[in-house]
Amino acid sequence: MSDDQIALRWESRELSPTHRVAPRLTELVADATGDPAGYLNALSRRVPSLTHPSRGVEVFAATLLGDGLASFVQVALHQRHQWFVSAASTDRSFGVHEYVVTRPQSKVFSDLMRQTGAETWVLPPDTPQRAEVLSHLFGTEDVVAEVDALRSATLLITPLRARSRAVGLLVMARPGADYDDDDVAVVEQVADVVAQSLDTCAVVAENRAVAATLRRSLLPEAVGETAGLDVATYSRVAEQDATVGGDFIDLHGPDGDQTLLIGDAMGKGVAAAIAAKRIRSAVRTASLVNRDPAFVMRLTNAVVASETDPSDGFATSICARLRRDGDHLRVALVNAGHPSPVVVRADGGVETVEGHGPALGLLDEVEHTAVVLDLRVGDTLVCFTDGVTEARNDREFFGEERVGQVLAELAGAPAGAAVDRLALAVSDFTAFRDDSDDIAIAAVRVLPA
Amino acid sequence: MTPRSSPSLGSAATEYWAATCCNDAAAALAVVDAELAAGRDLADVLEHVVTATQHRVGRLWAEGSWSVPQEHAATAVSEYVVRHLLARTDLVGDDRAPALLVACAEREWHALPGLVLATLIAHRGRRVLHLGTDVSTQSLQGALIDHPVRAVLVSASISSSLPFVRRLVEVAHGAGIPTVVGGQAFDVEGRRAAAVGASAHAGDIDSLLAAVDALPVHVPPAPPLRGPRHNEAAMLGRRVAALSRTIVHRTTADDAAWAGLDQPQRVDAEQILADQVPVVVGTVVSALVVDEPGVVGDALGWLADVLGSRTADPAVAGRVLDRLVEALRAELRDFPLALEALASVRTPATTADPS
Repeated sequence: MSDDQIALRWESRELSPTHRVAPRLTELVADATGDPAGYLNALSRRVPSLTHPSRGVEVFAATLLGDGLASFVQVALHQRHQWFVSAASTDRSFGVHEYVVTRPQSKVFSDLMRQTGAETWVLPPDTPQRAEVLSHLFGTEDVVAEVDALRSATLLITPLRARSRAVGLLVMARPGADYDDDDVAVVEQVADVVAQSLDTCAVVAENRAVAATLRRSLLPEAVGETAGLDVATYSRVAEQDATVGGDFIDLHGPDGDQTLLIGDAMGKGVAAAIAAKRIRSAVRTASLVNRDPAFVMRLTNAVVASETDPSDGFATSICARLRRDGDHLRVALVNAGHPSPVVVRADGGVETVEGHGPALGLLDEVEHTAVVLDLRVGDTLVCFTDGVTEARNDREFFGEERVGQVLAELAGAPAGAAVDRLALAVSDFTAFRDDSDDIAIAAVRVLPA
Repeated sequence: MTPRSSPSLGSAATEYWAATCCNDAAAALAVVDAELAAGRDLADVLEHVVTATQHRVGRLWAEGSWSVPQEHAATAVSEYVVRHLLARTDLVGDDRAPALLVACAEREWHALPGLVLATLIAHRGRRVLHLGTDVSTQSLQGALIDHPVRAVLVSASISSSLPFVRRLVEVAHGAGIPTVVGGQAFDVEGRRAAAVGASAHAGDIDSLLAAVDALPVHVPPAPPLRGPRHNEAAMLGRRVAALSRTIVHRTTADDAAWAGLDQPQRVDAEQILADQVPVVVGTVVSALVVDEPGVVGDALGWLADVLGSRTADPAVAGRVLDRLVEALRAELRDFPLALEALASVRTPATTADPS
């Protein structure tokens, strides 16, 4: 314990009686029968648990204040080395205040959280200690000044406990009306409700953070600006709860010699996303050795085949090497069981790129042959997963023919327009059906050198 | 937003238009950058150059001068420009500071209004989270757990989106977070905004920020919409796609209504019908949700204008629209309140041709 806190405790003995001007909390929160249970139940419903922790503390501070339990409330929640603090005061100009907790303040909080019940702290009047105590409890000058201005003689400090451990700290002040024993009992019950909800916030946020880290590692990195190419991508996951799926898009390599990868790992959700991530990694690794797509896909197939059972582990994919040659883009493309990509010429011609090898992971060893294309400025290569061609309405599939029709009208347009138009056409086609598949689309338009 | 005349931006708008027409996004961004470098206010440039251009694109499509792909290509240019402006706004600082979250309702594909809004908010020094178009309830719920959000701002351009706006309002208020709605789907008085349960309505950036500052920290869950009107809206909402297909089929099958159009014109008009009938049926759901039959009339009136100018024969457009309304009435036979709403609708076609 620091010297400051010893000083604080010593001062607390000089408690002086004050006149009660505020209502008793037992009366404030009681229903017609005098029971506070109704208030406590309602409180837990009024404050949402499915929200960000810093919103949670903010809402609690504002609610306790609004209910008249105090003139000043500070709620602090500790979650994985991070503090979420919100302070609120009845002074309208102050409102709700959020701030970053300092290290000395964090030490004071942690120490106070070890208490099992509420404690009344006396604020030394107009002494250097008063300023010090306030600065240790209320990190920023604004909050310190606000509490100081209340001229409160005492603070009620209550640990927030859930799952048999301290999760945070509730600090309340009510100038001119100290909390008596009955009030303190009510505040402790309120603190239990607050703690339960905030703990749920923290647990949900923590799990979301873990899931988000996994999701980020599974999602393709955003395809950024690339010299000489206008690249646009679109992907939509069918199962929105999963937020990850088996479709993958990747673009990597030095300017002027890049590898475009698009594909679809069998299945949906997290399992498919993990398979997709593995394929992207294999392609990137193989590309470091040799950028020839026939080589890359032969090696990737071997990796997928060796790691998975063909009955549940195959994937379709297109790997294309994009090499710049003046105003031309030389494309060498290998298609492993994937829907045929389309080239939209600047003059409006649409060509389907034929040539298929087996899907990845079906056979132990596969020799692929690359198809070679010559793209000129304004030409666009559009690749998509079978979520596009196999999108259905009540009667039929979207089909390759519709893809061609939609894209033919977009000759020379930005890659983003081609991608958006195709995605929108599929969405309109399947309107309001819930059984859609994952969809991914990638378009590469050649810009002038 | 009231358009103010800004003659000094005229040449920029002309250059921007030229860049948009030849799909040159980089040139379009350069036009905007030149104006900003000259000290022009971002809000003015967005309104008089980017948004004005977008309105012109919409008009050209509606008149039949531009095809849908041309419209999409031009829209992509402006989206590219605004995305760049948004990405460039300086948002360093505490990433735990509460943000204003901008979302477009589910099935809203018009990204530009939301992007412009997010850019203006960021430009005013507020933290903004842009969730983009077609935002599902799940993705909004996830974002509200992952980020501290001060308020959810829902943008909707088409009136068939109102039921989807309502869903986002329910999610936000369920998390205690207030909502502000805006966009062309809403009336200036804020009646529809109130009907979907939003905390506030705003028509421009200034009224939006004022509304946000006046919002409570915390709102209670949105009271459920109950009653026959809402039951019917929910049932009809699930059948929009199926009903729309039948309605399109019935309308296009009547050759007499289409007499006088050559084949390409008819194909074009039928495509517009196929695209827009789900929107019209969606507005019937909206009309039930917000209790405002006029929503359907507006959609039909707009469709009549588009068909009229694209087919170059107002008589055909009138006949087609009459068939459409007939088919709509026939297919809505199981929905008495929807029929009632439809009965009070006056479309330009039905008023011009009372037979």
